[in-house]
Amino acid sequence: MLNFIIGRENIDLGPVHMDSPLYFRKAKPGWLNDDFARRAILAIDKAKVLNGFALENRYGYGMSSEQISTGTKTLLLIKNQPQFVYYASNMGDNCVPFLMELVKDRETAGMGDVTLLLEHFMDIPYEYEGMLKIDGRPVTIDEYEDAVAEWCEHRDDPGYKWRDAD
Amino acid sequence: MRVCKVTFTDFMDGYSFSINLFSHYTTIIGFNSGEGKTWMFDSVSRKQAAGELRVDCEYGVVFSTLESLERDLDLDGRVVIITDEYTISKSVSIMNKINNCKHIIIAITRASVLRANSPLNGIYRIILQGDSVFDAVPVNADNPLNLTRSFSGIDIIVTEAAFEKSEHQFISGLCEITGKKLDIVAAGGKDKIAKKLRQLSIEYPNKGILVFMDLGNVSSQFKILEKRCADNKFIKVFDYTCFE
Repeated sequence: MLNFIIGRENIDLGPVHMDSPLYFRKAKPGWLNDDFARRAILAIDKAKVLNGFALENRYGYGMSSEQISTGTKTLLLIKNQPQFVYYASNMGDNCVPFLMELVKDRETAGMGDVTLLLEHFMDIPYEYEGMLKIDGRPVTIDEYEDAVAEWCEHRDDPGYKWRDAD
Repeated sequence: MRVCKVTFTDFMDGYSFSINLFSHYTTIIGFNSGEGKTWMFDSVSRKQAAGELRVDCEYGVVFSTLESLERDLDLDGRVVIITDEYTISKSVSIMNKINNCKHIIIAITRASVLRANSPLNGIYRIILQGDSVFDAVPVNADNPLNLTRSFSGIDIIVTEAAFEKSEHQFISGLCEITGKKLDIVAAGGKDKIAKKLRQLSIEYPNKGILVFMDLGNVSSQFKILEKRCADNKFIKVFDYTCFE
């Protein structure tokens, strides 16, 4: 299942890799050559993987893997370095189908949940009902929406305590 | 309302776009990935440094990175600081400094982690129009919240305010005086509005619902409310801001 920790105050930030572009600098060419990466990059960035770090952008010009979106970088990190917790707010709504594919793959492989730190409203369609957790507790999509809305407001509290990011 | 305008004119690719700044904090929001937000930041800042792009504004405009933001916040004169939200949210001290600074902030963001929310008309999205050609469009350009100042066709009013407080008390009193028969529902907080709208949409799928909330401080709830409005065409939001 997809397990969201909502708000950085609710997680030890030690194992959380917030800055996906930073960690993506250690990507291997193989990360981009596989079928999942090619599909995600085509759908999200509208770019084609030519070979490894070499891509063609939506206008037919060359681009490097450094230039793909932070959302795609985060998806590829979740897939290739699953031992870390990533920042879900690096991913836009068009990342959700790919994220859920990774969640299903991880479940099938018996590797447990994908846990992410979330600090925005990620629109999860109802087709993924039954696949969500908050803080390890299964929730419905409606309960998830209410929890995000509440957190967004709580976050505005002047007394709200933040921890430093990594 | 006094508006400060920032205009970007790219001589190399021959395009220009503007962002109007209504408050301390303006958001360039991202719904999807790959929309061109970071691409715009990188391209525009690089072209400005190379003299290929001019930025016009009554204040100086600086592009701040992780390395430069703290220094930029200490600048003497007021400037417009354009930055990525990750840069801002990196630490508590930076966030406090941002919240209390005299500068005007444009943040490329999805999470809006700052206390300083944007008003509805201070939320923009980037539209990629060509290879390194950008436009910035207010999110309310297509009226996704169905803003209105009319009560026509309204059966239920949902207030951000709690029961018998603020707008709830005012509208309830107004209905009593005028004899207008409306259901006045108190959400009791901005975060409770979307939930209330979902419940009312199921219970009364064909009734007109008008939401009273402060649009001067909406950014973190915008996307959920947009979804509610998309799901139920009978939901409208009253067009007003409240500077308490």
